[in-house]
Amino acid sequence: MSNPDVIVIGAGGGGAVIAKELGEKGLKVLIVEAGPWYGNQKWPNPNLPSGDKESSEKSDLDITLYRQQMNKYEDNMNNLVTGRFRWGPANRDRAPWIRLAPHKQIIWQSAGVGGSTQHYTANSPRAFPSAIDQFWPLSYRELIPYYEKVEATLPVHFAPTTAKEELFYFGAKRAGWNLNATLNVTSPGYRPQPNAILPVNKDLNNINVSLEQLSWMEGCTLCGHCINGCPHGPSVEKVAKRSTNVSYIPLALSTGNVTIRPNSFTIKILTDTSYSRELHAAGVRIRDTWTGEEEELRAKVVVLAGGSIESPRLWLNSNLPENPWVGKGLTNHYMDWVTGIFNEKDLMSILGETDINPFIGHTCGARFDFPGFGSLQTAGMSPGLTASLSYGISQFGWSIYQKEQSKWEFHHQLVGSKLKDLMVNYRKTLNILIITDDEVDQRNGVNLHPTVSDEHGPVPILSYTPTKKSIKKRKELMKMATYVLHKAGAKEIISSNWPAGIMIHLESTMRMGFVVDSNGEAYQVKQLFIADNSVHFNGLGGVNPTLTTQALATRTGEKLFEKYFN
Amino acid sequence: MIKPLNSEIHDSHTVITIKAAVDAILQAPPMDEVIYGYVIAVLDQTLPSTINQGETIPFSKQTASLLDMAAIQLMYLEKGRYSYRMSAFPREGVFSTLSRSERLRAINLLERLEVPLESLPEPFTNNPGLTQSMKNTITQLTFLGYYSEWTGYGSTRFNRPEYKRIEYFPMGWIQTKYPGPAFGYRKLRGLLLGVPNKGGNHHV
Repeated sequence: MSNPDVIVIGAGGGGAVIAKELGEKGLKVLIVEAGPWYGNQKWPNPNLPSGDKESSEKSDLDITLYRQQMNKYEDNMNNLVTGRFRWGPANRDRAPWIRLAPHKQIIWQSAGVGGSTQHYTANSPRAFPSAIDQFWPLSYRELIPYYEKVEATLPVHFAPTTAKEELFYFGAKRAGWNLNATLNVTSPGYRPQPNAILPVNKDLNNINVSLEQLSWMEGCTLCGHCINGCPHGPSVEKVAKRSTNVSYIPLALSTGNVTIRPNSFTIKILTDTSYSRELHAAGVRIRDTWTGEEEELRAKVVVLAGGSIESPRLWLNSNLPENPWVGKGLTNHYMDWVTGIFNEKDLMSILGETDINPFIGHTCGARFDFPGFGSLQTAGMSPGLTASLSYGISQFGWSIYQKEQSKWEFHHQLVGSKLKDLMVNYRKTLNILIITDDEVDQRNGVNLHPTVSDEHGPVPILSYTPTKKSIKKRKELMKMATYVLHKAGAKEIISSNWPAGIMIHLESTMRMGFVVDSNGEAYQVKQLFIADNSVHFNGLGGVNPTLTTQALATRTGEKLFEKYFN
Repeated sequence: MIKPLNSEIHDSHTVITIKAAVDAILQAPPMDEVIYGYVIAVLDQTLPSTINQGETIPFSKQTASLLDMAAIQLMYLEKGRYSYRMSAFPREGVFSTLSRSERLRAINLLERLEVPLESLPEPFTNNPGLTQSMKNTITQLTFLGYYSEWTGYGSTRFNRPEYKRIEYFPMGWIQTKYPGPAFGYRKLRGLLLGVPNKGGNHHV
């Protein structure tokens, strides 16, 4: 595309949304995306060279190709080093792009059209109103119409109940909590997860329609592969899990105004002061991840949507004006993970079945919200991810292990026969992810490494240490989670004691009110907007960030258009 | 298009040391004989040449040296308790000669940074973040290698990702009774909540 009105950096959770919104308003939009594009005929082998340069036609999207590429195998999809969903170039013979840290760290981010929504579990709760009002430069009420628009567009529905959700609700109820039947959470309680996943196919229980046939039809089949890439649907735009590459990207292409250029890493934001006294964005310099060729592209407005690490890194690498909050204030929901193992007899009496089968249904289908502390959600992963997340990551020592009513025992290592005993019970396992309402601290964040660079410039170095308040909140949530598991009948409970450097929900490194104004425009660089998790003022109270980013991207699109193109 | 474990760059010390680490974590021979290959292959692709020494010094080799350093440190810290013994592994380096529990304790020293950071091999030299991460990295790779589909790739398991094919039912799936990827399950138990009303509230 030549002479776009707007260049969007990144085709992930936020970039795809703003591109569609602006395309619908008639603006010419070019998205430059660092990673590959799966399910597009112009790249029949996206991880091998010889693909095309860009695509702007919805007819390029190909469900058969998409199914071949989203092949549901966890190592092929989610290996952080070699998987399709890694943060790295399309060429999987090369190493991923690195990020460094002074402490133990695992970052689960994804490059490619769709960004990290490719592997996300589609959880789309709204922020807690109490985390917005009185803190953000916007009120919760102002956000509601944008939440509603995104919820209708994706669309978002409450998750259906399979065994693992039923067991969680059973435990939560017995622990004394009530069902919270709302999208606007102001008090504690459990509820089905609001997920961006199409409703279950109405023919799911019709045995005259085979499961394979169902997988080519519209609607969720409860196949359980959300985390490893959902491939099911009659066309790319009707795939059940609503990653942006199957929701907002097809809608953006339908406008006829949006072009997407994958395999293009933005290495610099270009600025200008020629026609106004104020510094303003003028374009980008990109580098082709296959050929290494660099190119400058110009537009009236630039939207930065590279995520909470790359957006501040790009700002710093572009030598944009100093701001003490660029890259600072990182929140990551200071997560933890707890596992319950159940026995056959109890499961039979609660569920009428001897297994939970965590691989069935939405990967994360039930949640418990506690404004002021954060939230819990069920997680049912494939066995490699289950072993790795439950027993393979810990802060110090290894996992903490509790059997029935006995006191906590500290197990230095869940290895060997103990590991095997636990994994033999995989089908009787319920995992809970703990999402903490962690506090913004200016000492946490993203800097440029002083000596190490890659082909895109100095690499980012991340640091994150939870505050005392955050540590206390995580402990409380862990207590609640173990109590829910205990009340649900778990016979063994293993708390993983994750290190603080687990980066799955990264937010607030380019905070609204500090780096950007309430419309998403950078205070110090006009015509530069930011539309990703980094603009969040805080961690939303301990709630999955994607829906809020999408609501804000919708709003930012509106404001950007009014200011510069109306 | 096959990218095998290259015996020229993977000397026996590296192979035996990584195998000894996998054995300590999994404690399930003969699977250790297979999974170590996964751990080496993924380690060698973890870092770009700007950080590591690229093709010339594989990251797995440096990891093996790191494990040896941790083993030496353990011997120093636990002197008296450590005794030279018959080893399950051919004698290559120090780490592989330790007992399983000693190997696990040595790996723990990395996490606790109870090793002389300035004397560690590159790229671990004075790099606490990377050094500290190695326990989880080795453990997670061992788990993912064993419990994911990787063992099922059989003779294609060291091919480039685009050229791997499932040949067998993966070992870890037999143990966990995971049936493998599915088109779907007729397991709907109902809906706890339907479509919310306008504004987001819901009346049950």
